[in-house]
Amino acid sequence: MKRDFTQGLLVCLLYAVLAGCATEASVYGLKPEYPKARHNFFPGNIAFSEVDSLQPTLKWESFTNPQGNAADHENQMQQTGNVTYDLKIWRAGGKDQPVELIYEQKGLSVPSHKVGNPLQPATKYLWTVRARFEIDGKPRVTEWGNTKFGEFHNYDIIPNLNFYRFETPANRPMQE
Amino acid sequence: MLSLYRSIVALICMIALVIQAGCIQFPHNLPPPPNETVRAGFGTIGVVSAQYLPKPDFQAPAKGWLAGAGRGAANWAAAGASAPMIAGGGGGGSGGGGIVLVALAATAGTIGGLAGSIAGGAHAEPAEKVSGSETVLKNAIVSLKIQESMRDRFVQVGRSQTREQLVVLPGQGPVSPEVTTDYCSYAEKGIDTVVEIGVTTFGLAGPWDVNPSLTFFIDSQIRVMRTTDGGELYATSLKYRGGERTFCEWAANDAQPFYEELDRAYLALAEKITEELFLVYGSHAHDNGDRRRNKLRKKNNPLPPGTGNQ
Repeated sequence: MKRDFTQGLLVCLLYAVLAGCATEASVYGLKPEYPKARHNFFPGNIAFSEVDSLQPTLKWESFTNPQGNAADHENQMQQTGNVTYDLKIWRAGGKDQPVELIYEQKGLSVPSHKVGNPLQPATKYLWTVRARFEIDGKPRVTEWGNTKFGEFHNYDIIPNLNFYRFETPANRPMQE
Repeated sequence: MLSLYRSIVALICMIALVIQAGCIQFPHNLPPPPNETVRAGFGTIGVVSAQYLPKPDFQAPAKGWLAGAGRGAANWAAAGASAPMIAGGGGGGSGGGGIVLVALAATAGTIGGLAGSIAGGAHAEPAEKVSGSETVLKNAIVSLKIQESMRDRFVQVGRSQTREQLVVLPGQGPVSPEVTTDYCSYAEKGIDTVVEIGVTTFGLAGPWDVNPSLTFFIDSQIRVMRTTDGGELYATSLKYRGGERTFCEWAANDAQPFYEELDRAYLALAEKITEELFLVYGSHAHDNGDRRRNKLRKKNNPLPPGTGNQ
């Protein structure tokens, strides 16, 4: 009886752990829609989700114009205009950190972008986006999108270690 | 038997708690960017660079096969010795079990040391090549004007990405990272705010190994002061962490890879400083781990997409 209770408790505990970690990651900035930011089994670790091609179409949530939104704590978002997006992709290094900026786009008009040139197969990458807009004629940006969990949030490190992640598929032979 | 069972249960619970603790949000290292009211008061901005020399910090590889064998032996012996202790429960144990573990560790350490010395000797760069690379990098460092280059890059990026009035103030920065410079006299000269940028350390960092992959890094300090009363408006430190290469690869082609990475670092830091001081709006990623305040604000003011926590 006592043993059954302990085993049940353990199962519940492990389920709680898995439920807490193996889910979509919370983010700062614009939320990625493809590929999504997910935790892998190990806590504090964001998975490198495999994308469908070497030129994936990355998607993220759009930056909406929050007219009259009470959330605008500086009361200036009503004048938001000219929204565009900036995108950056880095190759990941040996410790999964961004080591080489390999792709950059500025002024994208829609919240998605097909990578212009083929990436390396079976390679890990980090990517991020931000919205660029104007408030009352002054240029402003959202912060670069990144996940909340990971390397102790070393926000003072550039590039950020918690940018979104994906992995390209291995080079497969062409199908006939 | 029951005691063993309880120990296993306790161990699993501890692991589960540690795993769950990994999901807890850790504090951030950056202060919130200046709000719009503070930004509106920036006026004409003077930009100064530090007057001190940044501290170079370069991790060098083993010079030649003998030094390589030494490093390899030390690293492999340590790894070999720790393996049985980890497998045996973190170096614990008592009585006969403990003695066996120590004996195993000593044996594994010796074997590891021998293997490491052979591998280390084989993988080490020739001493002359490492010395030559050291000379190339030393010469490169002497010719650098890191502080001024960093300041100029920031002014260039700031002018291109914002509408702020940025003015270079040559020869006015702090003489050491610890010294606070007074810029109040600039108020009469039409400068409302001073941005002070100083590179404190730079170099190549990596593990103490035979021929390790080394990461280029720059550590910097940024302060923003009002000239009318000397009030500090913003202060933070930023760390650039760049590409990875071996020591000799960084020095190749008259240190060309080193110079290129330095340029990337100037640009990345300049863009980050510009973003933080002038551009980022509605950021909640910089709340210094003040979860209670953040939670309250979130509850009262749920942010629109792209402006904060989601």
